[in-house]
Amino acid sequence: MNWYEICYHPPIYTGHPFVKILTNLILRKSENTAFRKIGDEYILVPVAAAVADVESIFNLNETGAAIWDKIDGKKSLKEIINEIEEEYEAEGQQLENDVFEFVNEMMEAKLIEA
Amino acid sequence: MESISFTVFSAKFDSPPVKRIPIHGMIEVTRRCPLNCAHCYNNLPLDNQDALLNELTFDEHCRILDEISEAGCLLLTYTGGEIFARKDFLEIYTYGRRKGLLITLFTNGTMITREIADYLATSRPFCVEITVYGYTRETHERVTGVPGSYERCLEGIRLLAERKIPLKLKTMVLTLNEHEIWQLKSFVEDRLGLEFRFDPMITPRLDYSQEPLIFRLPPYKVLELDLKDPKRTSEWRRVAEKFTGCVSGPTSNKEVYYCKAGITGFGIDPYGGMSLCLFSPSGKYDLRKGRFSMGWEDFLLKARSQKISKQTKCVHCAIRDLCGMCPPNSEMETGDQEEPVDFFCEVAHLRAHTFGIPVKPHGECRYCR
Repeated sequence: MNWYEICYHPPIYTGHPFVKILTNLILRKSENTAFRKIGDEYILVPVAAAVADVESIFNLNETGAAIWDKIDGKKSLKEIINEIEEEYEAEGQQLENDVFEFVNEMMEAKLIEA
Repeated sequence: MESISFTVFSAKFDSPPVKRIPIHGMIEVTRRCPLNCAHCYNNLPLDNQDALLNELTFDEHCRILDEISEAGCLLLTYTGGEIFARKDFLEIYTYGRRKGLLITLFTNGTMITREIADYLATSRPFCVEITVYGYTRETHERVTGVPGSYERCLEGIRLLAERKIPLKLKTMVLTLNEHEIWQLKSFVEDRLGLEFRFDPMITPRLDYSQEPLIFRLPPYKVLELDLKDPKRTSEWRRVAEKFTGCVSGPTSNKEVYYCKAGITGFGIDPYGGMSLCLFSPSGKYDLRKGRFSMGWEDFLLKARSQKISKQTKCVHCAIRDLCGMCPPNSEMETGDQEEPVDFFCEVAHLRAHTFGIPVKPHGECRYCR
């Protein structure tokens, strides 16, 4: 299990104290990742051998691109979630879960750091 | 978030309706080269003063990289001359990598040092393609004209292969090395375990000199290569099976160009001249005087939209996918980008005959008889 699965796997762990810690995490973009918009597509490209596989790129949907845009080394994950909820007029557990899952994937691929 | 290979990602841009995005770029960083290959279309001596004075500076390269990234370029190929003839090449490369470009390097391998290989291992290119011209030293150096180039090329290959840098080898097939192609292919594929490809389609030099053509194989030998290589044979058979008899490309638009140049591709020469592709000897947009976006949106769009100005046998030829000819080839070989080139025409007809593809009448054509 990874940190997302351990700490934020509703409904069992929703109230877990780690969740509060996680939502307070400040996320930073890895210096070894470049964000690119190609036509209507959004991608993350690893720019060093240490990051993922140079032959793999990461395709984001529009919400993923919006989350990436908000990661600035200052905002907490909770603040990012709140902004996404406002912009997309969505809220609730599902949205939070989606954001956590996306952030988890990016951390596993070393595209962002906490 | 979906992890995806570049091949799968780029396919999104190939399926209709094709959007005009400059996703594939080629940049010649220099035409200077330590080799003097018999067939080369653009090489200059390493110390060529005009080239040294006029090549884009590091800052100009960075600006161009900023602009092509902003416009949507993703796959960039650096070529030469010899890319490592520029002392600041790795700095240019690094800047491009940090912009999120997937970079392929074309090199002859002779200037790759341990330090360069170590660096590429930490900042990996998408691919490195090294051209090797013979199985033996004698043949390789007969083509390159430079003693010692064979050993240095093999050392470059060894340095990159040891570091598991994505590497492919290739060659141009000439009258000078045709006798060693199969040994070379076997050596690369079976002994080195690397991908190998060859190309017999030699073109004139960009300055219109026809000298390289002295070393071009005759059309029937190009066909022999097709038939002796199972991969090429199966590819041509696949073309034959899918053959519809229709003229390919945007003939309904009556455009001179029918490849992806100017649709998803562009080329930039060492002096900042942008064109539809690197083989276009004329028709350049000066990136020293204007932004890439202006050149792409206006100049290259017009160049790409050129209409056919005369009726030749190529216009209604349904087998032109078999010939490999393109407007720059025609311009370099005949001085006219719409003029048929006999060599390509004969190769196409031989291929059609060999693989059972019917050739419809398409005007006065001696090879149809």
